[in-house]
Amino acid sequence: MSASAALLSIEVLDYDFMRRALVAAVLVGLAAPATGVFLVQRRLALIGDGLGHVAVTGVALGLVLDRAPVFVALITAVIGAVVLELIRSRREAVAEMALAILFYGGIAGGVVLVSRAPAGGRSLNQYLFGSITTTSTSDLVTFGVLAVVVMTVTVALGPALFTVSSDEEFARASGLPVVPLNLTLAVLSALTVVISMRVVGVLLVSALMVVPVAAAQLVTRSFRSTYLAGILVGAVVSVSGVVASYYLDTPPGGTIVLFAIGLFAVTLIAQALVRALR
Amino acid sequence: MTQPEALPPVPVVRLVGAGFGYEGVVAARADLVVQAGEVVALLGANGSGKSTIIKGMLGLIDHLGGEVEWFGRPMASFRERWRVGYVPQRELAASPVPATLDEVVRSGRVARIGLLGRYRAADRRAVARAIRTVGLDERRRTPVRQLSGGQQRRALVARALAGDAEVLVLDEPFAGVDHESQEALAATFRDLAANGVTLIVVLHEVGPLEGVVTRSVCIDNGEVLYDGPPGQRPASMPDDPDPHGGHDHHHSGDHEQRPRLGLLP
Ligand SMILES: Nc1ncnc2c1ncn2[C@@H]1O[C@H](COP(=O)(O)OP(=O)(O)OP(=O)(O)O)[C@@H](O)[C@H]1O
Ligand SMILES: [Mg+2]
Repeated sequence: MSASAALLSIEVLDYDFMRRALVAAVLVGLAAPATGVFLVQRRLALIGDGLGHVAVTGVALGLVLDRAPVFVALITAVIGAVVLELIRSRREAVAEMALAILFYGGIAGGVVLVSRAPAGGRSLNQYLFGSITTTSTSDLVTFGVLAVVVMTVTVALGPALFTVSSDEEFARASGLPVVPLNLTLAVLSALTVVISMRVVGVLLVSALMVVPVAAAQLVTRSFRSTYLAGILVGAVVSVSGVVASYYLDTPPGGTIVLFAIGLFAVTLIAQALVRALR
Repeated sequence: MTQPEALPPVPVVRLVGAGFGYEGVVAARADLVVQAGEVVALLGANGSGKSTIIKGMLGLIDHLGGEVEWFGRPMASFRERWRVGYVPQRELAASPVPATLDEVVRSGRVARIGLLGRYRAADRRAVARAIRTVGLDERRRTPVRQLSGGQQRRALVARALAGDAEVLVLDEPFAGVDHESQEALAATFRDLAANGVTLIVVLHEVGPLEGVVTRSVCIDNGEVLYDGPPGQRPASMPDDPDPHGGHDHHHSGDHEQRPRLGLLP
């Protein structure tokens, strides 16, 4: 680490809220791609968006009822994920339609509900666009638990989840509990969406799950290395995005995602250059 | 049935009036009892219902009436899935995230290691052996999306072999596989059969498994039309032995004339 970088990070660490923000960034940066890599493999990369929209309804409901919005969002996102998965497992053909309805229903429900909330729509913004710098200590505990759950489950069930998300028919022939495994992945996605929501905002949740994986797979050859590189990229862009947003005075969520996309683009260009020079 | 009447041991698989289909509509119905050690060829024109029966007996599509038993247990309560290996007719499922041949073939051991298991040295050895068998040794670390169609078919066979199953259910394992690899695969199946592994193989021509197949079952229009010893016909069979189906019967034109088994004995 260069001297100036060391100085920068030390200054950032002077503030409690920045310390919490950085811890949150690491947790979410690790967890989001850990789920995302299986969603990409299952061709459900955009499910995070759908669940994010459902979470909006949950947040609004939480604001109306004056209950912890993150908790209510968690419940609605899990219900949404399970319903979506059950529809998909029965009628593959209507799954896309169901996802679309989830998308619009989630946002519409959120907008309508929040108009009834005591504080009006203002506090919804921090969920739409993220507000990592308002992370409280109790938020951190929630993020930490959820991140540990996501990482533990994806590692422990790794071989089974890989098989079921790569080739569902073969998974069934192998006697794997396909529906419960898919439901597990759906619930993990909901957990990830809800923890990512506070960091990058609902509108960018999917980006944090998918873009690090997209960047990683440019250079990897195996699923395992994509998983590892994906969570590494996720953590690195999240931390650097938060640090950069502090100095540039930009919104952290958007900055994180732009960093991820930047890394993707730079890797792509570097790869093209290397090929051209060979 | 041509099985001897002397009290047979528990069959490997037993279908009694078993109907299989899609979205509640029956596409094939079969009575079939396969004993350990048999090598059964399922023959029939395109669309006759071979894959339907295969997928049906594995519980992959709708089970619409009748009985299916594996090793004497109803399919619904049959848990020892590692005893059965499966090669689907299609190519490898696309892998949007890179996955190496090794990783994909390894998933053929997932029934053995169980839900929370990890792959161990014995699993890795079985995987290496299976990949060697299909002649893709130097491709082990290659992402599967970089494999050709025929190589992907061989990868599917390797995935099934890796499980060291007692029964292999193979849906056209030779389709799209070049001549040399066909011979190698056939030799593998011959060895497996010699070691007592039961094979249920969908084939369009017995060709590569000549002499290995102990019994042929001909499917037509979703029904078993013939079940008995593999009868042989000279290569001068009419081009489309299927009197019903107007479907194109697919031939791989580059084969030298081998004795072919007619659809009807
Ligand atoms: N997914 C499906 N949905 C509805 N009908 C199907 C489906 N798959 C097959 N069928 C129908 O079931 C019948 C039997 O098809 P099957 O795939 O079993 O034929 P096959 O004997 O394996 O043919 P091929 O030699 O072409 O592989 C056909 O009439 C086919 O149209
Ligand atoms: Mg078929």
